[in-house]
Amino acid sequence: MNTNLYAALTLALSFTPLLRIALRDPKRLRSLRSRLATATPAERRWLATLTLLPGVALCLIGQWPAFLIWIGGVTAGGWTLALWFSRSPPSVEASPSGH
Amino acid sequence: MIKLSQERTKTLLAIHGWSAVFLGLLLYAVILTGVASVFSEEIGDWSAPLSTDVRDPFPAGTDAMIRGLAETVDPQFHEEMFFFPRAGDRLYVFFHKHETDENGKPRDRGVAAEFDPRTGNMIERREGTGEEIEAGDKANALAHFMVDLHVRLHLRNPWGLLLTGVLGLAMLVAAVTGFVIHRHLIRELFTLRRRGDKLLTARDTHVIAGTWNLPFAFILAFTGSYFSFGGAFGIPAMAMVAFGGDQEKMIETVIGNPPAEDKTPATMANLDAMIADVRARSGAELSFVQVAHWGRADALVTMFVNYRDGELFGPSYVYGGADGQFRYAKPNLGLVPSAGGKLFELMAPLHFGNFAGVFSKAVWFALGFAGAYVTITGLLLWTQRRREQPAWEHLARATHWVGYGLPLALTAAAYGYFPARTLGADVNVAMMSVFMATAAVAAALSWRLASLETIKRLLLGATGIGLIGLPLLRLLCEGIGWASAFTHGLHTVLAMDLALALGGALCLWSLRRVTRTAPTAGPQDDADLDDADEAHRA
Amino acid sequence: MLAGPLVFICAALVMSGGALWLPKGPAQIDNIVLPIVLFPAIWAAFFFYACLDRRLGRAYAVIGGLSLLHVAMIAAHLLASRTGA
Repeated sequence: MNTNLYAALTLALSFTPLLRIALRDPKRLRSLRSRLATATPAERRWLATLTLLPGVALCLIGQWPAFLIWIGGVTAGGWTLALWFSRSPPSVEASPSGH
Repeated sequence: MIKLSQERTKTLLAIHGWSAVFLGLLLYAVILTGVASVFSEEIGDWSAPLSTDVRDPFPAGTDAMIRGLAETVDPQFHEEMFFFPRAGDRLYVFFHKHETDENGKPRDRGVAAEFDPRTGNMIERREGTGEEIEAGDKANALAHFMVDLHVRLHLRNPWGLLLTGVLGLAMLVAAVTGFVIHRHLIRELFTLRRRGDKLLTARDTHVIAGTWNLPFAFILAFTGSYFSFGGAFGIPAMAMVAFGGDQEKMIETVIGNPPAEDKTPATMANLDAMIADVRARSGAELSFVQVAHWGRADALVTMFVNYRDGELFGPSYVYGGADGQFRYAKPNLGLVPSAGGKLFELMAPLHFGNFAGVFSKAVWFALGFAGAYVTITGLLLWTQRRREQPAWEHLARATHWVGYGLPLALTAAAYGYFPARTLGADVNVAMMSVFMATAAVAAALSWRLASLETIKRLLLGATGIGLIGLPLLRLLCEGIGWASAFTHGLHTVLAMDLALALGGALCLWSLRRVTRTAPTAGPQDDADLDDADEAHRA
Repeated sequence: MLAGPLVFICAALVMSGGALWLPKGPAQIDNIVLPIVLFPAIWAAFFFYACLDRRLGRAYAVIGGLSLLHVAMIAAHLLASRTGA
């Protein structure tokens, strides 16, 4: 199945930068009172472009079914990441009673 | 994101909220059953498999099965027929004629049969109107229960379709207004604050899920309301204006097969040969075959194939029924490609997510789930915001009832299905009774128990246990055992058992989390609260 | 907010009437298929327009005008086809 292969590949490519955006998201870290360095706007833009690039590539080569799976996978996956990081902050020094 | 005057933002927020208050719970029901319906084929294959895997749903010998049935069918029903693989890959055949009911609405009447494609033996035969035949279907009943709830909330047509169409429009409005009123769309993609104030958490939960799900909420709502309205009034209204009320004629025109009448009786050519030809010609899996005017010189056989790899469009193939010759390949609508035809063909893959097997379906399942989640968290946010006002207490309870009670009631419907089928009772009556009874119990709990948290825990816990128990129930009710399913290639049965057990475990696991984090919910943080309110009201 | 049902009726009329003025396209079906498929978009466009137009009177006039125009077109077409038949 070519479509599934394309979709799996592009999703894997997109998730790497997306994960990094999520890990270093400024507003998320600030809300957790974390002291981890947050991403600069330029870095975020750069990572976002990297995330979206595989989808653009799928459009350019006309792999529309794979593109649909890709965009669905990215949105569902991004949401999962947002949910996941909100419950178990990895190596984040959060202070639950800090306010 | 988009600059709007305060007054307009307020209007939009009001539309967003109030349309949700009135239609949100019904919309949730439609979305949730839609999520289940993504796997309706798999539900059929899981709940009613044949004893071994079917290698080829259209085997050599298909012609003999259908020809044999045709001889026993009243010739008036030869007007049209179709056949395709259904639950467990039984070959489902329906010879029928078109007629109008007492109210002048078109309907089908005829004879349907299910065949075992491995042996060519007839499993069952039913006669009546399309609806009556559907109601007698046991193998597909569980899947049909979900789909029917999704498509029309089990209401009579056209009212059910009109209602789900309106719900689709409401979802469209919610997606658009949600997009416009949320100012920090991108910046807050990962901002989900669980500590501190509950209202803030409720707001974040709703907004985050909504933001990520936005493109698909829009697509699913659009295509969904098209499917509802197209059937309920789009086609009749259009037929009235352009074809003097003749829906048959309009459909004939739009599909584009010229109706050159020739009533001379003729022996049908061999379907097996046509099936072999279309497979070689298209390089894709055959999915559905339709025959117009069986046994006449003008018989026309149209073959529909599955999506080819990398394609969202594909032609169907038309054969002369009497001579068996390939005539032409055409788009589903019209004889040549057109913008309208393309757009029409795009609706199905976009709504069903069935264009690339299990992978695309799994993604659509996740997206639908996110949609249901957005709906319920939105309603919870609304009631949380107004928890000081007793009038909204009922909506909070109703949201818990439907939000957590509906998954339970849907699971319970399966508990009606399997035993009823084993005992030879009416499966539809059994499913509906158990579904309603469960919903009633859930309602009683939702209004009797004081704590909303307890309601949620009880209903979600019961759903979890119910889901885990489903594979066992299936086994108890003469279902195929795991070892046998494995050796006979019935992978869907195993995968569904596993998925249900996992889903159940997930329900129970989410409860564990509730107990752990509940006590840590701290006092209200005024600054955060203001932030949330400002963001939501601005 | 009376725009709700009124807009719905207007969208339905525009959809049906659209069959008469849209180009038929290469397969001779675009005029019929497009309005049915795009019905949700027609409705949504009218709905948001009706909700967001600051002058309620103007919104009523636009929606009402569009509806009347299409009613007239449909009526003319039906009458013509009846006398023609």
